[in-house]
Amino acid sequence: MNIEETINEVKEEFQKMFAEAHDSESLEKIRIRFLGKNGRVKKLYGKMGSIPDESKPVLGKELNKLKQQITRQLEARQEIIEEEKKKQQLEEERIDVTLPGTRIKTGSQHPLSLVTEELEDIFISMGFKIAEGPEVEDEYYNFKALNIPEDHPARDLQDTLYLDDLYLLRTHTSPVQVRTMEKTKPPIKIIAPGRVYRADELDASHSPVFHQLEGLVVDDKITFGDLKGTISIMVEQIFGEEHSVRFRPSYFPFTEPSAEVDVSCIVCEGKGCSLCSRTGWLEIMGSGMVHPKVLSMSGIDPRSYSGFAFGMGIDRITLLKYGIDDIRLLQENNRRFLQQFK
Amino acid sequence: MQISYNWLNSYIDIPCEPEELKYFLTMAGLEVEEMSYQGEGLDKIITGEVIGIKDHGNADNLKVCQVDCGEEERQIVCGAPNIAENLRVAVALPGTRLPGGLKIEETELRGIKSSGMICSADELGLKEERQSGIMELPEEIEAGELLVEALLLNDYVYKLDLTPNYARCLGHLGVAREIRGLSDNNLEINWPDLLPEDNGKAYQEASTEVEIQDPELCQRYTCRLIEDVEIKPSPLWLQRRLEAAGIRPINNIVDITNYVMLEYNQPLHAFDYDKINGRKIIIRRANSDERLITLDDEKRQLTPEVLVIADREKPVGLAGVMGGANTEVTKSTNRVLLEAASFDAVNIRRTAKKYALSSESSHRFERKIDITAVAEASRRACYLLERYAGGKITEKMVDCYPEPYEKKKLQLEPDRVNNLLGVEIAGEEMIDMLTGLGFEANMKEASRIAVSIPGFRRDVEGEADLVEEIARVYGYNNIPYTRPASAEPGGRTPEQKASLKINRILRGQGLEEVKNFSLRPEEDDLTDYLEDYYKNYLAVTDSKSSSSREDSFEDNFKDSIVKLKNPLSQAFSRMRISLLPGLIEVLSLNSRKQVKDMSTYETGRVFASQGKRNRPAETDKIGLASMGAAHDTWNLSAPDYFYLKGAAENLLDKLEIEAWSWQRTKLDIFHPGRAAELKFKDKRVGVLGELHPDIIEEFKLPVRTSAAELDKELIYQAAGYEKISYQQIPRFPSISRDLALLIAEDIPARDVIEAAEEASADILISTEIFDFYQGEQIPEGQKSLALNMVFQDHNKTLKEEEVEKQVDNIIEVLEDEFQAKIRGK
Repeated sequence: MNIEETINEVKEEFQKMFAEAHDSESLEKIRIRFLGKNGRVKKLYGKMGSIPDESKPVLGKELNKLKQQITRQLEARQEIIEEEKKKQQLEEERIDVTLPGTRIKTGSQHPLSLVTEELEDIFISMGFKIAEGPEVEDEYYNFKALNIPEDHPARDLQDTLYLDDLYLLRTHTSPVQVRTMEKTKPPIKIIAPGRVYRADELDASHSPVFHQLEGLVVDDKITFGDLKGTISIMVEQIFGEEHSVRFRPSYFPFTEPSAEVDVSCIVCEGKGCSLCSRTGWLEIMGSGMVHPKVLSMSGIDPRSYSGFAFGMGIDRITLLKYGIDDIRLLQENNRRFLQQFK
Repeated sequence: MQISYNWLNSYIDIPCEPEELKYFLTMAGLEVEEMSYQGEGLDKIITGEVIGIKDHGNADNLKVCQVDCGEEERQIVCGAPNIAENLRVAVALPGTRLPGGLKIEETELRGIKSSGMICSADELGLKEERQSGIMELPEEIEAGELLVEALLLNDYVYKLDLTPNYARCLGHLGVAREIRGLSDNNLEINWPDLLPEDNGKAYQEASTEVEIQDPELCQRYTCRLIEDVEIKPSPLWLQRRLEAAGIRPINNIVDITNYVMLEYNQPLHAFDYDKINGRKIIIRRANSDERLITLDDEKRQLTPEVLVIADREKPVGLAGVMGGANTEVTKSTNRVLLEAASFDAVNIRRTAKKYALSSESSHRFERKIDITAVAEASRRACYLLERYAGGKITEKMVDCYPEPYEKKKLQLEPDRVNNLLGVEIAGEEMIDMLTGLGFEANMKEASRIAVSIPGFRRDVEGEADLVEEIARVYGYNNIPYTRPASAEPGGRTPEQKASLKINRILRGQGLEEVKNFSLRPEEDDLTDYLEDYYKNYLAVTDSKSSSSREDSFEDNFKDSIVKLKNPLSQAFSRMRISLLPGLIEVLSLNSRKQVKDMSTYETGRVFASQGKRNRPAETDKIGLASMGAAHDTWNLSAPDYFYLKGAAENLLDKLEIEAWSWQRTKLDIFHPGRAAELKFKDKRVGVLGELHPDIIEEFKLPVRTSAAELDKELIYQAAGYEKISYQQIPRFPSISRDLALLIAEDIPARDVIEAAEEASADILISTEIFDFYQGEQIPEGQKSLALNMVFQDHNKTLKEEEVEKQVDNIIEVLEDEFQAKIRGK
């Protein structure tokens, strides 16, 4: 038999088998049959010895070509099959991408501490430091040093809870002003957030325990205009720039001149609604120039220094900011309430 | 204080409309709490006169009335029992709507046409309670007028919320003065008519003697006799004005004293002169055996702190607070003695408080009245008494005024005012401003204004008060917005920053922040559970700690609770001593509201007594609580306990606290076998445990609910996160070894780890327990622990033999110390 013919036969056989091979196993079988140790191509190489020398180069070349072709074809198809397989696998790994994500349990921040932190940050950005003081106070710090004498009608403004004849629960954060002035030389620029107490029955708008944020600035040449500028920035930041603020004369024993600060109603924008008792304005804080008596009682000479102070209810601001209509929600700690604040 | 627009307008030409006045007053410092129109909903009601009445015929209780309504006569069917001919009535014509919402229509009542309705006072909203008949109007009223005009209801009322320094505005004249001072228009006050001064008319010497025994408590006392008074109702206009001011008309005498009080802010009192014994008034302290029945029919036991007005034998009034019933003006009164006086503010305040009797009078005296206007107010009342009560005045006023008021003098430097307000107002302008408000002000030297303070401005004590007056007139809202310079940057202290960090870490552990009141009920179901916790943890102070806490805690738990002296209710009558009860209640509340799992934290202050007359200790604590946690790491049915423990450990780790440890503890509030204390070296920092099953049951909590309380200050002191310095990332590989051992079940896992760490050289960089097992295949009384140990050397690659040596060491120690059996060996 002619070796050339045999080569062609092998070629044909391969092509026939190859045409039907569509998976890895069939390809492997073909590979073994043709290229294996005892495969057909190997055997053809074995026959090379028995052919005439002059034909050897030509046939050798032919044989090499055959081997290469088989190899290439097998490899090419193997690659396609693997590609296919991979594609199929990826297809099978398809998931419902809309199933809920895996959520790690996260805590929530109480609205009061959210608002407190926000207020603190606003004032810190304006150069304020944070001061603290005890919740149990005495007559001196809570009243006397703030120019609230005994038997004065101003005492009626705050119903006090007493522990005994000496101590009481602070009715405002203003004692921190006094404590700060006693131990700090001007310039002073502090805020003092904290818990305060009044003898008020708990209802939708009153609470015996609530929170205030006090502010105090003392330096030479502090003006009422500085008070206005500082507070208006705070109001803009916490309620938004679209809200206007107004100052009107009021009375606090520890400030003179004193001003009540109103912000345009966040519901009706000044038109008048039930939230603002149809006035168009919401009272948000008391403020004023520190009374000279208060300065001198704390060891600061009112001829050399002046200052302003302000105090606001954090609870009230929280209620307004989030539109909460009952102050009791702030201490009930109902989870469905707490989880609304982020 | 309620102000009437029409009344005020009679003294000063109010420069604005009623609605604008509300704003004007508020911006002047006289906050208008409420504004109302007296004739609300009555604008269409007219007056009529009944000119004829016939029986209805078809209904016994109905009458057919012919009513003169001015321009026309109308037939109106009316069922009121008091309908009568010539009666002046209020008529609602068809088409009008009554204040209650009822719309009046032309109608037929049992076959007879009725065009309109004759109204009762309650139908018009003028009386609260149901009236039995129609409203009878005064005879002088003409038919066909608008009712609001006929009854003087076309008026606006402003309810003022006056701060204590606006006492001068407790009278209409005071408000008029404010308007004069603050308005841009040059307005004049139309002062009321007075009885001529004594020297203007020949009055006789007074027959009544006045003796002030305590001139400190009564700085001025005047009285005057008015004879032949006729007690009757006051004229309509006067009644209306009193009503507008919120005061009920009684009779002309009482009404006039109230009216003048509402003009001048000067409380007045009228005694029935014939009930006063011996023509003498003595102002003195009461004796402790005296009693007085006041006008409100209450019997008052008197004491020497109380100032009374007395005649020769008995007290006849609580000075400045309320008159006595024994000298009350009645229908038969013929002669009255009119008192106008000034009493000490503090004494009046104490008396009013003592008897819980705050009157219009005491309210004003407490805030100081104008002592210089006492006589004028008296003459005003005399004028009105002559005119409207037929009074005859023949005697002079007795005026006992030992130390006449001397006008206080103050100096004002315009420069200082401008510097304090941040404005530029000329000195002359300031003088105008102050003069407009009723001060006397003159430029003294180049840069000083001399100001003398009138009697109606006794609230002005110093320069600052005058600065406020300038600011008010200038207008608070005209002062420019500026900002103070900052010499130093703002910011939080390290401790305040740590506080925020602690909060963030806890939230990051899935804990929700709660806020509980620091006031608690006197006794609650949890108090008894806290006793041993208090003794062993709360009341312990560590002398080695750098804390500034004083250590004088009460020995007795019950004494340590800080109680309120004047609690408003039992529910808020003492301070919290721990955060745990509040947290337990929060979980309980939520559990009852169908919340199955919840974990919370609170950072807050707790209070403990440090003995009588000492300031109570205030300590900041961190409280944690969890219920219904799902993941039970060690299969010990303790998911909440280990959840909280993990959260606490993460907190300690994130704060870079070293050398902390947990040890078993036993406290009433916790399950006896499931509680631990946290220690930093030998310092007790807090406790953690599963709540005692009794508490869980009582508060309807899910089983295994757990809680913890840690001392925030101690944690902050131990925190080292601010000093973190970078450690080089190891360049050489680590080798990990697992070890499973069987040991007696009562050996704490912590001891095993500690022993392992002690037994090994520095190359052991972590030891962790990753499995715990008890049960099948493990002998009774034993447990299986699986330890993972990681070895690493920072300077070289470790060799297997080195690690094996270390592991052998560890095994040996564990075998020796705990008789541990190494599994699989």
